[in-house]
Amino acid sequence: MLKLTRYPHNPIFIPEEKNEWEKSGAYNGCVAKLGDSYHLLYRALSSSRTSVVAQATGEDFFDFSSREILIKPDSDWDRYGCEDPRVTQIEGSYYIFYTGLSNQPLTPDGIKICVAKTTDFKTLEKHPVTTFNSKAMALFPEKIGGKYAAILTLSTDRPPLPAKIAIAYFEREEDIWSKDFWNSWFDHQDEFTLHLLRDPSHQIEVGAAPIKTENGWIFLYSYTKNYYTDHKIFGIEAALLDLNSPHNILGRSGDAMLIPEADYELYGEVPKVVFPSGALLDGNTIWVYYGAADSSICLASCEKDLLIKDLLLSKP
Amino acid sequence: MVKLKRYAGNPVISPRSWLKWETNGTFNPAAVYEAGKVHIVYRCMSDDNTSQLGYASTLDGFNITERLNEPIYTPREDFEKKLNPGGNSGCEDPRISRIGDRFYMCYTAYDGINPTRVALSSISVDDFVNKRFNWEKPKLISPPDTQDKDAGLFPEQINGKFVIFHRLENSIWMDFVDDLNFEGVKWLKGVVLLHPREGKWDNGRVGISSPPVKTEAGWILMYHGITEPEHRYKAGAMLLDLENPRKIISLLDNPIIEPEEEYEKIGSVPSVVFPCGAVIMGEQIFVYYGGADKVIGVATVKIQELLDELLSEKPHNVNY
Repeated sequence: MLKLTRYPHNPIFIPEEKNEWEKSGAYNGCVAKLGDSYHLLYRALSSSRTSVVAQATGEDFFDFSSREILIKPDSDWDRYGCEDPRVTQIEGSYYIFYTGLSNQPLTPDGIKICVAKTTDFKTLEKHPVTTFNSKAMALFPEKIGGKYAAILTLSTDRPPLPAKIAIAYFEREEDIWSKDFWNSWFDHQDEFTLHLLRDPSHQIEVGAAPIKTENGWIFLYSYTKNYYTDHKIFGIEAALLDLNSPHNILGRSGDAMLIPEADYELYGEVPKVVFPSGALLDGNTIWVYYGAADSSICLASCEKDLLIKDLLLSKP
Repeated sequence: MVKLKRYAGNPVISPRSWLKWETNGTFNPAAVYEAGKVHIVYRCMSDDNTSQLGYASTLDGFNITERLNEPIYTPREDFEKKLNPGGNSGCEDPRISRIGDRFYMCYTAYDGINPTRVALSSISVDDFVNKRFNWEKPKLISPPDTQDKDAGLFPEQINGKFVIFHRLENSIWMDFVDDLNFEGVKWLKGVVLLHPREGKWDNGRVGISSPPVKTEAGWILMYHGITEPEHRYKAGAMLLDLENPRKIISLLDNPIIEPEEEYEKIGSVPSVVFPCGAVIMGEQIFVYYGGADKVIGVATVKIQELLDELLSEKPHNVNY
């Protein structure tokens, strides 16, 4: 079983104490490249515990500065919080999916996916996306069979109903935020579901946007054991998805590649959490961005070829 | 044997590394139930080893629903300001009790050089629950040049007197005073409630955990004891007479919690469970404790179960 190796200088990003809007946590990050600079997008939790999506920039992918709020809760569909961004660049635009909270007190129907589209990380075009309880969506970085493809998590907050990870294909960009599209997709969700749960007491959630390799899409996700108890064990797992029809699983992890063990994963705002939220391929190395203890952003890595080999060993 | 049941989601509070004032530890919490929630006032250790107090609250006793990003109580008097740079100092191990419309807080004040002393402050309940932290100027209440710690005020007056527990040398003491106006003239002393018990788990040193909780059968007082020579901090329980709390009705033979989990064994100080707060919710007592001087856990026990065990013990053989 392949394990991820922690970056020795973890955490790579912690809250800046002087910013009230991120004083309770800066976590669940992902990166995109614009020109020569890397943009780190992350969830920032304020002193009053409202989440916004913030960004910082860097010349490399592990050292970031110049923090600012990017996506504010200023629309009907995200007015109580903007959480956990996942960014993908496709055809010159960046699509930042995030979880929007739209009611208070919060109910599952108030937890849905939203998107902010940008070309420059300054001006945004915001839309509500799904019409049902769902979270954690990421676009594939290329069209598949001429269509946009995305991976998302639905029924994330309706225990004992287990969450599901599924794929959606869109003919046109507008479909991504079309109510009609999603209502019809919801009725056919079973055709697009990835069967990743090993046990109904576990929970899954999309981690990072998939990474293309010649053997298939590498997809990292959050896998939590004993989710409905107080004995939760958070873990990071991976699957290899078919290049042309990514709802087909070619191989997958048999167990966690990383669980909370380091001090920065054990101590913080929510102790004992590791949560994958971004990934990139650098040479032959896969770098995984993950939130640690809902407090900071960390990196862990593995070799791409070894990972693929490992995933193919355990057939779905 | 009755044991506290740990919440499986422990630790519930752990240090946030980027906040300098709590980066080295969050532990030894006081707890009070008020206005529909448990308020937790915990000791935090800063990057320069200064203790101050942080705040969190929980609606169900387990899940932290709110946690402030600034300390709610910082060293303010000469007797708790650091005289020894880099060493420990500050305001340690709070215990909070409500009497009338005020919360009284006893804590250990330490300047890093002189023996630790007990300080007393208070705040109106209304201010506290609305997070207006207008603490009254603290006063030292234990004698000068004498190490004293682990103090807590009895949550009711007994025969018109205020009752204060504290730890002198290795024992739990309790004093009965007419008023709380310690103006540098009178100091705590009183009588011994419990000495360390030779040959038992609490042979090393004993001090109260939280102020006692009231039941029909008597006051349940939890206390910490150190097992020597292993030097492990554990906690036990005793039952005090309702009208005359100097009288121990019974005392459990065994600890109700001892270091077992990793977060209790490994931290800033190994093998420590150290409760400073207990509240009643429903039929249970929720106990808040420090683990290894690093994190905070919660553990519960059914009141009836604890009482049954206490009442089945042989009568305690020390009576005053």
